[in-house]
Amino acid sequence: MKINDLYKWQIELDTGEIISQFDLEGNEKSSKIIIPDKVVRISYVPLLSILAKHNIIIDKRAGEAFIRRFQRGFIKQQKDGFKLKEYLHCCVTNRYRVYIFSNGNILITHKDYELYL
Amino acid sequence: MTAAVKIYEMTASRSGWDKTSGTVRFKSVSATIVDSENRLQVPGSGTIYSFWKQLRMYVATAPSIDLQNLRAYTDGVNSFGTGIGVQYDLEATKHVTPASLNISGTDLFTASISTSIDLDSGLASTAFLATGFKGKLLRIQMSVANTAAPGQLSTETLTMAYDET
Repeated sequence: MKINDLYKWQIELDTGEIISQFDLEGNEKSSKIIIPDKVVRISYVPLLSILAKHNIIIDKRAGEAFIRRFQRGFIKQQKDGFKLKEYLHCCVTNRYRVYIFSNGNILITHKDYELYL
Repeated sequence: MTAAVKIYEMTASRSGWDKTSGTVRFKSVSATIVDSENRLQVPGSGTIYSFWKQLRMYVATAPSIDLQNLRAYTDGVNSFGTGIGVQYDLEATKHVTPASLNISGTDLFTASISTSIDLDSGLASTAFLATGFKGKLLRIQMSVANTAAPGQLSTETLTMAYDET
């Protein structure tokens, strides 16, 4: 399995609606369909059982807000050519960011921190 | 489906060369092959320049979503040694037959994690949902001065990053 396929995202809105990264036919959905103000939870669901699932709860009553999400790929030229060496998922809120690595580790940073490896 | 992004070395050919399993080697001729032929020679005086290398991202599997924020950077440290440098500039989207003219570019090793090269600045921001080349060409060129020591150099790492949104 490729490292950019190890996690998929899932978002819950305050209406109870669940938006998943892929529909039943396997088509990927754009983040542009997400209405940030309505997001109360974003989950990163591993496709391998040995990896941890990560849930990020957006506490809107405490002033937290979901901003956006994205994935970031890193292609590095080393002795074996240009290979995809890491692939991160990132959830951006108004107070922090959470980066999820392909091995299941997470990194919590300042809300504006751009992680490059 | 997440995008499958590869790095291609562009020559006069529009199709370029897939560098997924091959490195990029600076040479004294226009060639993408990695071997010990056409090596750069330390000059008796002054500085010589390699033929250009033009690198560009290629999307082999179309993304279902957009691809943006294309970046390139090094570790910020030139480990090639005294008298050896690598400079870069950006070409829009054209590719040309590489030459050895001095591109008078910027030191590639000034492009690090915190000062990465923006490969899609100024390009159309419409969603990219197809296969094909994406972003600007990164043109790089090695310079060798007469103060350089002879011998084969160790590999330097170039990183290219992209966001899927």
